Amino acid sequence: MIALLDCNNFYVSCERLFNRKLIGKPVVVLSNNDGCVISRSNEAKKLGILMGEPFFKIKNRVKSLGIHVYSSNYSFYGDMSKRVMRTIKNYCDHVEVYSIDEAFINLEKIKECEYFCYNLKKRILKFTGIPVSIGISQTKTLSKIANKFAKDSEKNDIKINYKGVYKINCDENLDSILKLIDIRDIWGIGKRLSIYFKELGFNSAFDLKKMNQNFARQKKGILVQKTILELKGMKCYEISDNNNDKRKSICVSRSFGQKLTKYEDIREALVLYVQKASEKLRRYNLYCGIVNVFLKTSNYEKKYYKNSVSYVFKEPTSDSRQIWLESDKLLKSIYLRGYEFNKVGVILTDLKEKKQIQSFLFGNNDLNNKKSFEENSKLMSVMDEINRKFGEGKIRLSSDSVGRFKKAQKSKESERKWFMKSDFSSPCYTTKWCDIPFVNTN
Amino acid sequence: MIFDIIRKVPENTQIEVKENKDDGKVFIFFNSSKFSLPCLPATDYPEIESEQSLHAFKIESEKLKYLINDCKFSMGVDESRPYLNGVYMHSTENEIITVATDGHRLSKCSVKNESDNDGFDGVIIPKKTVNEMAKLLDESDKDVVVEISRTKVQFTINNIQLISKLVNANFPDYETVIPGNNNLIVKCNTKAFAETIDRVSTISSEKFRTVKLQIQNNKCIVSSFGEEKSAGTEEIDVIYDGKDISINFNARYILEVLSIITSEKINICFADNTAPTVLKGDNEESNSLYLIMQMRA
Repeated sequence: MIALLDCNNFYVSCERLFNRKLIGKPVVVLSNNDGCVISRSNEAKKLGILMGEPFFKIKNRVKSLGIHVYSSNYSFYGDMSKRVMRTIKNYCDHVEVYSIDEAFINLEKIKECEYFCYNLKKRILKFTGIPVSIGISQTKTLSKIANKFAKDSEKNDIKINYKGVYKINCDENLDSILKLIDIRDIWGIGKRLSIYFKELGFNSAFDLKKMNQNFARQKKGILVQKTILELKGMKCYEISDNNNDKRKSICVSRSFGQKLTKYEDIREALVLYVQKASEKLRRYNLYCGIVNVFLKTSNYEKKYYKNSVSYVFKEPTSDSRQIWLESDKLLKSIYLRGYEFNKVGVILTDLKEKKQIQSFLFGNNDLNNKKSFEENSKLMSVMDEINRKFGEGKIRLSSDSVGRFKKAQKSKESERKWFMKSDFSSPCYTTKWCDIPFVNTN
Repeated sequence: MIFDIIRKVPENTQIEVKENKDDGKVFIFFNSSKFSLPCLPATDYPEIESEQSLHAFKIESEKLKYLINDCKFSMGVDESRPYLNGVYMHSTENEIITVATDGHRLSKCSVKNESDNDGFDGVIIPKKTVNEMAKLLDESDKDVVVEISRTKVQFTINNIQLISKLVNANFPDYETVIPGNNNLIVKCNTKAFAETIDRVSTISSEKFRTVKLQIQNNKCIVSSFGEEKSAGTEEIDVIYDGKDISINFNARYILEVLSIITSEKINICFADNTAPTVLKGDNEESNSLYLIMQMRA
């Protein structure tokens, strides 16, 4: 059996942890730059706030409806996610962290799956304060559906043995459950595929399960065929041991808080993104063969411009200095005066493990020498370690004059134009010494 | 299309080609078949600007074939480094030399310079031209005249002239990367070594089929690792009694060199440091040299 554990309204739950006044109140969390709604409390859902709704559309309603609004605070959410995942791993051997708030758990050796998951759910709530729901079934696709029922049991009028936990067995009841699921809500069937299948008359998960799998494969590829097989209870996706295996690229990009025209401002943002991407690369013990830099204006800009350009390294690297050296040149080659840019980003691709690196014959790069390759790797890991211990950007490239994406709270430093908009940000309660909350002992 | 039509014409058939200038068509007749194809005016065909030849020499087709075929497999394919996507040809007073490299391995072949000139500066012949020339040389045993101008190269073989632009870039200084003191020399049977590497590398599922060579006391252990902890190992006899060697290679690079070397035995010359490994046939007449960079352990 496979379980899918999903944190309930994760970002909102994180905000409620240290701000107990928010419990029972409608709360929404916005995306980067305070763009759209990306997490809603159940109370906000009831008020008709939609997922992905642009904030400017609901801005006027927020006050009148008493909705609490928060800018996204990813370092805080990321830390809470780590705590949840660590708790799961304390009780389960085989866990695949699927996203910031989801994990697949292998329950093969567990006898009483539902009871075990119910206890796990209680422990996570006790140790981290985050409420979770768990769906159990024979395949990843079915466990995703089960998770949906675990969350919405009341809405679907389904009887469950343990609150927040639901198990789908591949028996005679399976079809009746699948009939309740819209084809669009199936894992692996996106918006476009669901439109295509609905036009053909396949509306529910049950319809998809009954579809001729050869037809599905012929028309929409092997992934859809696998989804059909998974709906039938045949396992096509194993729980992965190592998420790195699948990592094909690393992208760091943000929309600017304000539109930028000056090259220096864009460069200042890019150097930070390059360091972030390189640090991520090293965290996964990977090396990149290609760096790509892109620069664009808003899609709605009259004077629209978008360009990207790549550089192939002679030898794959994870050295921030080397990646920045090339990224800087790439940015220079695509920057144009007179445009109002809203986004710059870096994508690292052709990712390789160390054992896959083929040395290069030519070139004056000192990485060609094994000793300096090791020395540079060591230098980078020391830098990462210091930054982990003492805070991001404590040691950074000399081209980086800022060291962070947004203005630090309580900081007197001047605002950068490219800093992300985060007007409703909560403190980093668990990741910054200065933000640790005080406890009143009186 | 015209090539495909002619290719399918039965052997020993008379073909007639007629042009109708009025409606811009060309007609092909043979037996009871008739094809009409649209055509463009001949005056639109680009004129190849003639350039003053700077160097010209005549070479036996066998020698040119060797210079190209034993070298071209190392040419690069990366579009971001066009200077590697071809064969570098130059000559000294005594030798005509070709070199190809993709940056990870290098092939160098040379023949005696029997022409009167003192040699010429290097030129990079593009990959496509190299491959076309290799095809032409397969079908001819006549001498080839090579003429090099500032931006072009021309090969004349029988009544065929192949004119090509040269790659407008500088070839890397390859001589500096050929190590002079790879003193750890391992001698082994070329065919047996190739078969072993081919077998063992089957297990490796990576794009780079990595093989590990561990050499000590006249033995070489070739091993490779694949998905889900699968592994393959084979031991092969070699002649070597120096210090222990442990090194990783891309199996494809070694196999391609071994398929070119014709001598029964091969010398593999390793260095103490990370210098490239040199592979050479074990016969004195061999003028080919191959370098392969190791993979990081």
